[in-house]
Amino acid sequence: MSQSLRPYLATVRASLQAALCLQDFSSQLVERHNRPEIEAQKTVEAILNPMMISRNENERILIETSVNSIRLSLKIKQVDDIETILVSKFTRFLMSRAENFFILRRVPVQGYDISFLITNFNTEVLIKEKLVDFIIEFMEDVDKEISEMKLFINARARFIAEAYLTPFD
Amino acid sequence: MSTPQVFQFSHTPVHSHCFSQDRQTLAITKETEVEIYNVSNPSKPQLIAVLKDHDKTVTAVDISIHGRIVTCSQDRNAIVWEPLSDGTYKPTLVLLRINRSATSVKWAPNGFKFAVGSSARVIAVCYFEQENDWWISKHIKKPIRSTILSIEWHPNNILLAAGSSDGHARVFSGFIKGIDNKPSGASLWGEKFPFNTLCGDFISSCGGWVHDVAFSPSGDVLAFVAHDSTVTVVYPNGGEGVAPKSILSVSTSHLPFTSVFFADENTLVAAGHNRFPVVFQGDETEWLEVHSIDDPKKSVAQGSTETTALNMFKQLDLKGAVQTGASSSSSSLNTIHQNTITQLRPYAFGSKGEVTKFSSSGIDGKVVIFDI
Amino acid sequence: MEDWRRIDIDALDPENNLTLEDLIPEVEPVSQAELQQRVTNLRTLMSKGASKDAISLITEQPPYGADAEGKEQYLNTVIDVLTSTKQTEITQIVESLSLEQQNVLFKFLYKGMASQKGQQQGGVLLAWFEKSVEITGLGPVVRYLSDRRTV
Repeated sequence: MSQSLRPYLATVRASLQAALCLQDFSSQLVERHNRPEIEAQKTVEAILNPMMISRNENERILIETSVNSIRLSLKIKQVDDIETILVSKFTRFLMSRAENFFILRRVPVQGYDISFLITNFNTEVLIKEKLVDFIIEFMEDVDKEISEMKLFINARARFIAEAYLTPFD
Repeated sequence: MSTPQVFQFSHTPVHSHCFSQDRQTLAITKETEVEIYNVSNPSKPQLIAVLKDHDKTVTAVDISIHGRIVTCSQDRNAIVWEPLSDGTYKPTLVLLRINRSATSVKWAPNGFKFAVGSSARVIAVCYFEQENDWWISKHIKKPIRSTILSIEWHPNNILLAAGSSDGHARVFSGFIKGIDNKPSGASLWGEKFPFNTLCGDFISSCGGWVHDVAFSPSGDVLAFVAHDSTVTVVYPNGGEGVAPKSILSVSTSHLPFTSVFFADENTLVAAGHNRFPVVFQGDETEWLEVHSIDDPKKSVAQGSTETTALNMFKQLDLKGAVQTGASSSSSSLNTIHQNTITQLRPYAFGSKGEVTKFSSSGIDGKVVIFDI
Repeated sequence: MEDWRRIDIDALDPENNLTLEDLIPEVEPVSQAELQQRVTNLRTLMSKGASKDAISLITEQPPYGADAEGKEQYLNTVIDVLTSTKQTEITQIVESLSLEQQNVLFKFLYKGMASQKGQQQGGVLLAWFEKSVEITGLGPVVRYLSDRRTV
């Protein structure tokens, strides 16, 4: 698995480090407001080019950068229906508890499974390197978790099938 | 080289800091307040005053040669603090007439006026009006169309440079009748300087927000750093409309710089998101990155054992982390500043007027004095 | 009647708002024919196996001024060149590029990864990226972010 995972994660890491150069920036449109420019999408000069990093057609990450915030959206690998269901349940579970995760967005960006919103206030209190590590770890673990759950479901299905069919042996 | 001197005041971001002229007093921003420390005994800084009239994040602080402190904040105000004999400060609100956050403030070298950059797309040049006993302002409006991120005065007290988030670094005239003496004749920046004259407009090679601007000690060279990890140096040749003698840009492999200053005519120091200062040298023909101060690569922990080697491969394989060392194993990074450096300022000068020491402040709440 | 309370009056003030067009610096337009010529050149170089020359040509004259459709076609050729290059040569090629050329290379890599074709070839572009960033550091990545001229 490491064959293409390593370059993928290295690319994500480099891109994130470059994107996570945030600073305090109060809104130039609304008086006395300080809002994530990437969500407001009103000040064009405060928003930078988006970066999309794809491992293949099914797995990609979108990093949208602005002066005081970045939005990071993950498309998790889904090759069949079971994985699609698992991913949607799993991300829904996380996102409904978003306030405990600080950087998690409650709703994913369209076309993606899960989104993070990191603002300058997050990078002020968290060490940037650790934040990047966390995202990378999350990307790994989510894959692992999903495939484990899938194996478990299959094993269980086989067990049940066996149990049901034994009487007719 | 002596070890840099570190002041750790708190863990809240220091957006801006300033030492007084005699280097005995230090002002730092702390959320909505400004704290004044007596640092005559560097090992034990004493908190002597807290300036707390702002109600939003204070973005910048500056001390004039006369000891007046000016602060500006995202609450759209600037306040001048006059030191009183009993050690307290008397605040005077400045009539900025802006309706968005104030982002940066700088006293003119002579201390009789100051400029405030703002998100309201104006620069307010403020001066004291004796008759009414208040600070009033004049606006530089055109052709600014985006937030002003940084401001710097020319040593002649008339010109000022501003970096803005639309990627332009501009030089304006901030001439105020009655305050300034009429400038004598033509200079490299132009001939006549009525208020609001545009004397230069530059962009960096790849665009990006201009985080900081700086004039050389003579005022004949302008440098600015932008959000594309470059340092651009401009040698003007007679103001706006005349092609400058040369524009030199140094692309680096660091993360973007947020602050820059001239140590002497041919030396620049810049720092920012990379967390350590970098020194550049050059002249009209070429500028180059020379060395960095407090470079983490030089201070990588020695004596790696087998387990760490194994760890390294694991990191490489599972997380794509190329660099090992502190960033992946321990909770602190191997630079002095643990987060973005927000501002650099000259601290001590040598015999020829060159900067020998400079101070830096960071998001991590540290103020550090480095040797060049 | 239109709900005038919902009109965004800030958007109507031409003085205040910068538009995306204001931010893009002026670039020389590149005509369709010229682009076609370059594609042919690249294909010739590729068939000869001269990847190094091809990459150098790509990064020398980025098609900033072309229209979206032209850029798309050009990108497809660039991806072909990138995939036909041997993995072992990448490091050497990137080292031979100038700083400016490295910036352009990263623009193509990011654009490639965002395109349909690039996603199918995901592994190749990622390998390019990983090897390049080791040499260049984060500078070109930052410059990709802030540069409004796109390939």
